[in-house]
Amino acid sequence: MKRKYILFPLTFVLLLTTLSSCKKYLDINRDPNLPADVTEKLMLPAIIGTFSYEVAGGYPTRTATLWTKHLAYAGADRHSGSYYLTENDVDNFWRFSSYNSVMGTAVEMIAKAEKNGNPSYAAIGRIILAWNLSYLTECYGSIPYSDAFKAEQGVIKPKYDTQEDIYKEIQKLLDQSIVDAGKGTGLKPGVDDFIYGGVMQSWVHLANTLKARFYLRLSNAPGYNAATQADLALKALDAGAITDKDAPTATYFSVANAENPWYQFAIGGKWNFSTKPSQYYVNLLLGDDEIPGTLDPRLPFQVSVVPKGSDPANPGVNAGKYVGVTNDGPPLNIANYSPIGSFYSARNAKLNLLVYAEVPFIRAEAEFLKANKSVNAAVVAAYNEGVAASMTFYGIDVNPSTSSAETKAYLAYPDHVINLATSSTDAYRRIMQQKYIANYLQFEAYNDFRRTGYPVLPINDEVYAPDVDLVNKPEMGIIPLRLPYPSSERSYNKENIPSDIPINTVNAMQIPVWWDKK
Amino acid sequence: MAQDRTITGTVTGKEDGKPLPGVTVLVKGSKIGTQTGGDGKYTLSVPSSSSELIFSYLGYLSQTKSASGNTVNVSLESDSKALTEVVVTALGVSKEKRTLGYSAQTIKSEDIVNSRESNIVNTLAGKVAGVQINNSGGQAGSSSRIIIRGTTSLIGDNQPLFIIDGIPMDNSTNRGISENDESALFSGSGGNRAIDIDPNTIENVTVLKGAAASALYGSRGAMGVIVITTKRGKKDLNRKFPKVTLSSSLALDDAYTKGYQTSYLQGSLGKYKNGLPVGQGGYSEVANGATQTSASWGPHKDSVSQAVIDAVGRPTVIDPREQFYRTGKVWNNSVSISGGGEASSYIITYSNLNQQGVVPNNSFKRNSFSGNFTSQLSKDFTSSTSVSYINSKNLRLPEGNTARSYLYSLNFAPISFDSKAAYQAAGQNRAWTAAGSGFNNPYWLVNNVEMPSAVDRFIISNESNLQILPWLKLTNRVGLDTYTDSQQEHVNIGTLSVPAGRMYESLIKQAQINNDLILSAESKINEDMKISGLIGQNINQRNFIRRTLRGTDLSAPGFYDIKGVGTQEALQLDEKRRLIGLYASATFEYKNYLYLNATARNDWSSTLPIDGNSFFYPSVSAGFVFTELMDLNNNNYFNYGKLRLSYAQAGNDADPYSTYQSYLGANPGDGQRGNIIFPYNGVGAFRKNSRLYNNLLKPEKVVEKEIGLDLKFFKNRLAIDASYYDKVSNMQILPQEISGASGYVDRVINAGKISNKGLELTVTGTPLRTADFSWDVTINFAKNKYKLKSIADGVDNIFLAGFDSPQIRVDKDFGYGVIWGTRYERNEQGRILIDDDGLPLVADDLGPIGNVTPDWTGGIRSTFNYKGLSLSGLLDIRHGGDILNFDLYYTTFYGTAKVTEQRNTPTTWNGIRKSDGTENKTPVMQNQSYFQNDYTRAYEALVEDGGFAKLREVTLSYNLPQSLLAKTPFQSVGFSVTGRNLWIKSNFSFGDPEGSLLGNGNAQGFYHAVTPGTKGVTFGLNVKF
Repeated sequence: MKRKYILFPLTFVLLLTTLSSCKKYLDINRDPNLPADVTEKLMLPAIIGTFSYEVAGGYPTRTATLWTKHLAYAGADRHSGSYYLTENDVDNFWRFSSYNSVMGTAVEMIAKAEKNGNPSYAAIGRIILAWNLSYLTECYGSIPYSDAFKAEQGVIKPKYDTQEDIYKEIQKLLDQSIVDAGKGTGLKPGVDDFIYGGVMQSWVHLANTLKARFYLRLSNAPGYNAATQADLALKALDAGAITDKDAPTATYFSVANAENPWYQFAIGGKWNFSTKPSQYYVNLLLGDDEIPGTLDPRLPFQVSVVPKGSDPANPGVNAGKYVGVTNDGPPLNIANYSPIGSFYSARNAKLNLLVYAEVPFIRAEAEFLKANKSVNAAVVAAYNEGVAASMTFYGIDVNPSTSSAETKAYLAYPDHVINLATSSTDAYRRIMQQKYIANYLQFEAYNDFRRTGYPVLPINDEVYAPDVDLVNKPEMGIIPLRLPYPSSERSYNKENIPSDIPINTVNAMQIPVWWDKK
Repeated sequence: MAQDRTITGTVTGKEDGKPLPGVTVLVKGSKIGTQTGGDGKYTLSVPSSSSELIFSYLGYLSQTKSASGNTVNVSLESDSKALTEVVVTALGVSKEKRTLGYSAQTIKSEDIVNSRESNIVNTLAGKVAGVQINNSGGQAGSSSRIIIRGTTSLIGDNQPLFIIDGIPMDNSTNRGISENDESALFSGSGGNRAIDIDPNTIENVTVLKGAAASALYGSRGAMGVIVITTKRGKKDLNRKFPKVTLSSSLALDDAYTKGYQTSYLQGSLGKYKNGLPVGQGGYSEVANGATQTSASWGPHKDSVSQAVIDAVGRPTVIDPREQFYRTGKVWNNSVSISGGGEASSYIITYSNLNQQGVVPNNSFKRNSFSGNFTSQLSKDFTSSTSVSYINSKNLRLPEGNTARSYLYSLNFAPISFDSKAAYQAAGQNRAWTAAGSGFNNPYWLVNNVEMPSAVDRFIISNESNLQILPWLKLTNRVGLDTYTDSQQEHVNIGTLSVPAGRMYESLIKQAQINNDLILSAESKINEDMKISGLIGQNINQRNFIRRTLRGTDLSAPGFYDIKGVGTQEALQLDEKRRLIGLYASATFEYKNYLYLNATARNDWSSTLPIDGNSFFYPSVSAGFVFTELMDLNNNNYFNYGKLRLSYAQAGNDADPYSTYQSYLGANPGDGQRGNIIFPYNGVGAFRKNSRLYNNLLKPEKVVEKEIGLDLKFFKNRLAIDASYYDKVSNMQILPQEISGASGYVDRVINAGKISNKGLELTVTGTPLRTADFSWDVTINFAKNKYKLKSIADGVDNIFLAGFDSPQIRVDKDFGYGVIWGTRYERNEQGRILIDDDGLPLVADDLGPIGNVTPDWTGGIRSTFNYKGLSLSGLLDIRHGGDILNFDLYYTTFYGTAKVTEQRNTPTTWNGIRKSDGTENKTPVMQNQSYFQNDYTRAYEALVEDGGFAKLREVTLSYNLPQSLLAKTPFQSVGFSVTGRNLWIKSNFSFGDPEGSLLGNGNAQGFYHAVTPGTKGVTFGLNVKF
């Protein structure tokens, strides 16, 4: 037989055999570096870790603290401290941090936990989901929720829900979580619960506290009654709020890439040192040298003195002093201004997701509103508890017999006191002023400012010294009232964005959110 | 019967005077003949009646000589436009060019070597119609992008497949760290791996442009194919010693440093600051003012106040850019020995490239050993094996938008501060700005922040041919291309942006195994008809592995060991893809003028859904030499004309791992610089993926139609090669960005339709030719019309790269490579609207502010030869296409940009006053505040014309005449001087608009903190003996 008669069939057989084993040979398209499925235990730390770092300690809070003047950004270029921001600046917070990483993961984890019979995980998932939703609606107003998280079903342009509906959903989520947290069945969270280590009772306290916060949020909302909302808030607190022992915090460590977000942002030198306590706020806490009782004992905890020798160029110009910055390029090296106090900004400082002092202050305001904006014993008691809690938070002794002269003077200073004789306006202002100081570096201070108008804050047009011109003039004449909608929504979902919010960011930022009708 | 007589003689090549072995010498009108030997000599007994001898040799014009006397010496002229020009087509099949139904262009060895570029991709610039090259920057070891016939894929790699000696070769640009961990925006990007190929070893490069040409390469050839053939040894039985070729060159390069003002000193509001700290000589013209600033808004160097002179003397002025860049040097040495016996031939080459970049400490070194061994193992069996080992080392410095980038400091350096002296005096990171803020000292940076990489690469291939029957051949071609790339990042303690220092140590392993088994047949049906064909099977596997150890917080300065860091992080990436293909091809030839070719291929790819991973695509092409029919072969004016027609489909698969959903490791970050790494405190965490994958993906499809003409006039003195193509890419696989509220950032879909239509023209001519002198000209021209017919239902645009604004994107309405960002507000006539202060208004929304795609590209090469002397020039032209010069954003702010030299003069914006609709007449003062706050309010101000005309190369070479060498052992000795980029015409601020922060990716035209392009002169010596 001639060779060719063998070779032809041989070649074809060779070609054909490759076809039959083809399927298995080609079935290698699963990413070996990423899991196809994960358990609730692996999702929870991602949800909490991201929420803490990117939301509660991230963009919205950083921006809000510039607007509430806790901080200022001493930069010569236009920036959010001078009310300049773009729809791109707010984009990460919307789509990466919130909808995808935190809430998207939470929605999946809740579904998984319900399917697997792990109500504790469903409870925590709903609390974080509700909490993150509140940040979003407080920044943007109407946002997608009922139509959101449905990309798998082909919904890539979700409709928006009104802010009113969002708050209803938030309350529902919190109610459901309180029920689930009490079940005690299924998988128990442990070290994967970065906030409470699996103590579900504390999650219930947190849910109640958040409920109270959000009831009170609607004190001026159209169609809502302040006294009613106040009563709902009080009931939520009475159902078991957080105490000074179980205020939620996120823990960080003194090792690289595990550090406190304020440290990484403002202290560590990864970006710059321009974010510092504002001149306004430092001066507020410093009070007036001439007037005893105006110096706030919390100052050393919230603001650090200018360290010695930090700037070899100007040794000792401001060393040892409390000096704040404005939202403009500083005349001296930035090292000559006070950094955020290490209580907040040390590498391993805890991030306060919510401070306990907020609970008595909610109570004080709620009692005050419930009493038709008049002072009664409950208001006085709650207010005093709030101020004391805020002091105790730093370890400041408020016991009248043992406290320092400075603390005594501060607590006794007329503008820091509420009693039955205090006028309605003064009382409201003082409650909110003290809450504002207690809520240092908290996003909540921005909500309170918009809702109540307290404290009365000037816009960011301060200068460093009387003879220095303001280069960075604010982009608008009021403190911004919201964030503009992000660029990704403008690009991929523009049909659904509420038409009353203009594209122009400066115009958009001057439109109040729904509940902001003070 | 007439007496026979013996004629002897030598046949040499006319161009180089070298003997030509293997020339056929035939007695006219008879079958009597012989061939010349290795020394070009022949001896032939001829009948005395014979009057003429015919000398013919492939690639040379045949010559007929009178058979008078006993010695007939002939010098044959090479036929550069030889009708028998052979090109290497798909799957390594050599074909006569006249038989092709599609366009293919070949670049010769000299043209590659003479461009004196270290990167093989750059050597092709300006030489091939329809091929666009963009060099990403002036650092040694930078990447270059190559695309053929426009952008075929929306987001996939648009660069062609590289084939070396028949096997696919990797041309990736690798990074030691993923884009997620650190964006290239903040570090720049390294070399494309074709840089490992030593241009000295290349015999020629063929560019297969269209789908018909590359159809047999399957899905991997959809973007065109670059076929590289390396040099082979030649049979030369008469030599005692192997042939030795030595080539040596030294290049001297300089950076382009245009675009900066040279008049105004450091300071602010016209007042001088000397940049030194207080107590260390710091001085500010303003009492008690800061002595250091990032601004160059001080006084003019000629109007410094007496107060300043009294206090610190007249400030010394330098050019910080000129001072910083050094003369780059490239030493390139190559030696090869080659030869061949009766049944085998060999070539062994060693070459060494040592490049010191224009940036201090930047270097690229390449050592390459390569060899080819070809043997006739039996009458019917031949085997050819190529082995290359390459070691490439690149010490690169970070570029881009980071304080670690030396450019992000140098470009803003004031002319009155000597950073070099400041660095040398203190050895510290002291810049003109205050410690701990502002900028790093660029000299400190280049000594303390570096990104070294070292590649060890093997490319091994074997081709074996078994001639089963005279008309039937079995070929197997197996190849392995594998390398390890060890990449590092060293950031020393004390760097602003990473004060505690950091490092990574990354090992990349890439391996590609490819096998083609081909059965080919050839049959002559009769005198007029010939058919040939092949069937084959292909298996390809690519494996990519990356292991990165990242450390943060160094324990001691300059100590880069993973054990010595505060925090360790381990990153892992594994990627594997496989492809199986079956293909067939058939060619029909009729009477030397009609050629028909059809191919078919089916691929099965691992990256597509397992039940839909098969895709089929055919091609047909035809070549019709109509001059043959018209009997014009010997016409003096028009001697050759061919019409080409082709239709082809090509498919393309997806990126690996796009068909199954997975979870991502959590990595909270603040979007600026901070982040949290998991496992965190011992707890791991995974989050929802930001991309929704798709288990219904289908392959991408490219359909291309091509029509072409080859025309030759005046006995080949003028040749025109024209092609028109119409290429449509459909069902693109792309991530569609969607509303984040859907839960995902984007989703993978099949969508998008792109059309590329274009014209390619190559004209070659010899306007002058005498015995000693010749002038040859080649002109390339290509115009590609890109149209994005659709992206996807509901998809308006796709982000390619950049920031949110400005960015480079694909846009439904504005096409590919759109620069998108803030723009001026305009009226319906397109006039800019001006406010009452005379300043332009900025539109509320972002919009298109430019497009990086050029209108057309072209190249003109002109060569003069006079005896052994040759002068050749290549002009490369890119017309149109914008570039986003993001450096201008900063340099106008800090006051170092050339445009800020107009400071403190009034200007009136050309536009319409918005308030009353009248022509704007309100002048604005261009002061510091204007440049800092108003000038770049719209990023539109940063868009510049990226077009250029570049004198890519001018080469003067001289070969010593053969007469001088006759009595020496040397076969040839040549000298050359090449100028690279000596002249550039461009409106771009920084002179050379070739440059891309994002390397050779799809997002071109983003110019920001990129090492400027270089110009230089290379001296070369080539010796053969």
